[in-house]
Amino acid sequence: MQIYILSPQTVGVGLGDCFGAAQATLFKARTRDALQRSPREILLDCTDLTYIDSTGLGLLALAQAEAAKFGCVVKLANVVNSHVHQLLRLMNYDQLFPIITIRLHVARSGASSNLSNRA
Amino acid sequence: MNHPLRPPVTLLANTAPSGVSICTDAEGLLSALSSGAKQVLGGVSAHELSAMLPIPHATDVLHVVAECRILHSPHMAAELTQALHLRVQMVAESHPILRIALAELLQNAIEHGNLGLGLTRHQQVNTTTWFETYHATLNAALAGPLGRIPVRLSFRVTENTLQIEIEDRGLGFRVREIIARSGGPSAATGRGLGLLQKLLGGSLTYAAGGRIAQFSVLIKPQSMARATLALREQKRVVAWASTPARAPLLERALRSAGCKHIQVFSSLKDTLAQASNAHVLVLDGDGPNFASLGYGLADLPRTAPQLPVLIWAPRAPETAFTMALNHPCMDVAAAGCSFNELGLRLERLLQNASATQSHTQLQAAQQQEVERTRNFQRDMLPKASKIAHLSQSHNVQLGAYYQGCETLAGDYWNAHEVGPQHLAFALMDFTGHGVRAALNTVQLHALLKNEWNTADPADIAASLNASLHKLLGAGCFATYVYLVLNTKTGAFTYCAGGTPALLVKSSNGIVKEYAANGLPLGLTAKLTPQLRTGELKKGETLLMYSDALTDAPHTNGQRWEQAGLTRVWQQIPAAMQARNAMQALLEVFHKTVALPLPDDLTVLAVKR
Repeated sequence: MQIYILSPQTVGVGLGDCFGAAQATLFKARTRDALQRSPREILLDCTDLTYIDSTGLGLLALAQAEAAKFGCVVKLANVVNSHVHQLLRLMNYDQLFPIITIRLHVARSGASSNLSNRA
Repeated sequence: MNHPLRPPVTLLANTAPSGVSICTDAEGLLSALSSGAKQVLGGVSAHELSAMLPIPHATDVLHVVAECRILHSPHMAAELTQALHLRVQMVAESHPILRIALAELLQNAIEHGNLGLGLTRHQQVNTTTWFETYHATLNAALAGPLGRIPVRLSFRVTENTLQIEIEDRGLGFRVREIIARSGGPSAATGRGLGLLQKLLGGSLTYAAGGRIAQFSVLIKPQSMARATLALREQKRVVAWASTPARAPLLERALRSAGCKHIQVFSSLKDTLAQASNAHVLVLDGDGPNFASLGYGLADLPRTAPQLPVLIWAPRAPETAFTMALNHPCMDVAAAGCSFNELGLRLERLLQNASATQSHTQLQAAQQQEVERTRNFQRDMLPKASKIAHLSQSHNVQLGAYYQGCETLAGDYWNAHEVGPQHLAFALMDFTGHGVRAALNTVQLHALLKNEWNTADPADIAASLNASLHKLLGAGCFATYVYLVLNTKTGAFTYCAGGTPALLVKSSNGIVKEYAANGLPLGLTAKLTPQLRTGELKKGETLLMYSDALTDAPHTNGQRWEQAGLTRVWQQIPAAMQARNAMQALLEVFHKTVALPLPDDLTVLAVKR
């Protein structure tokens, strides 16, 4: 689970391919790290995400609630897997989170960010 | 006893109870899933778990009954889904749905059902560290006695759906109340159920007060769909018409009854010539020449005993054909028989013939398997060359005899050199018969390979007992003798349990019995075997044997029992070589014993 600085106001957190109870501790730590940088938005990178369960959905909601305390917005970026996308819509998470498409490959490889918000 | 330097023992799958894959941890369960087993039991007490298995059905794909500590693994739902996909070929969209539904329902069954943590979660959910606290509570519960409570997962197929049932042992719950309480995407609890409702819709139902969850997902049409194609549409029908004029009539009747591949002959010779390629033979019973068929068909029951024969005689009463043909697969479509009924009768005959053929093939295959297993079992026993080598290098005479019973059984013996002055002998007999007992001997063989270097029989017996207790199911055990002989001094030490006494015959013919009673191996978790001692002087012969020698019934209805064997053994001349003395004993035994033997027979004779 990677964390990457996209700009002084934006931090990205990669969710990996599977997001559930097993990833909870690490995800919470990453979110905490991200919030310590006082960003205005956190992008949860769903590029590799192929599976999310109810615990994963709960963690997303938890992250959003936590971020809101710091005046930060959590967005879901690059939900490319159709099943994950469908599931988020089924559970009305598309209304809870902005779902955006963004080029993150440079930032993911460790270099500086290259934002192109097409949401 | 554990030996830190000893390499880990690799064993075959646990075989108790036979035909069911058994494991005791999540890793074992995952490997059992990929093995193709239809029933998987995960836990310490396979016997109790198997009580939860439903009655086997032809549509079964997989049944898993496992303790919740084993099923609560992050990969379980994914692995189950993959194993099921390999077995039934799901349609693409079902794969992720099944995975997530299994994950959610398993979590519910374990955490809310068996462990009863629903209330705990609800109470903790508003605290800052509720997630961590809840998972600490969950892990503690899984590690405790509650973690042993099982969950059942059953998977069955219909033509194009996979039916899933998950049963827990909890108190159940009220589905509607929980969904009503969940209150939206950011709500703290009830998200799993809400997700399931949305993913599975009306397919998800609950029974037994919420303890059983049932749902289905779409799969690709199964082979059973092909099987529902009528056999009469697929199979070849050869028919005999009584006269050439009746041939078209007969063919029309068969077509109307649903047959597709039909050959009609009015010559009986031609009919019988083609009958060998047919799946069913139809005879025209209404025509004028039927009565003369008898001689022509006389050979049919012998030449084609499984070829179904149908007499088609829609104008004659059935009683007219009662004695028509003495054939095991015969039916009559007599007066009042419609084309529909003709079709159904043909179908039934074909089904019966197909079932008989499958049964015969299955029996033959099983017999072959039994033979292979028996040969494998024999191959584990010491070869003549090994016996000769041990005999020569230790200057003792050895005689060994093994006779398997008609079915497979669980006798095993072996001998091994333990240093320059010691020989070790193991003779064991597992309870029960069949493949299970035979496989147990294979496992024992593997276990013993790691034990031979230990010269203390008590040490080995305790170690074997610990391993076998884990491997054997409830009620299974092995009677045993493990003896280490100092071939220079004649002193021997041994441990034994559940076997008849060892017999030592002195050079003057007096037989001394050495007790071999005690607890058998595998019955209890911990065994402290009694180490016994004895002496085999020069010229004396030691006899070790399985209980078939004392317990097999003889033609007079009696058994030798210990006293009878001792008496016969005493009468064998003491001067005879070990092998000859053993053969003389067996000759006496075989003269009167009732055959076939109900159990394996193993006899070992050692003479200094």
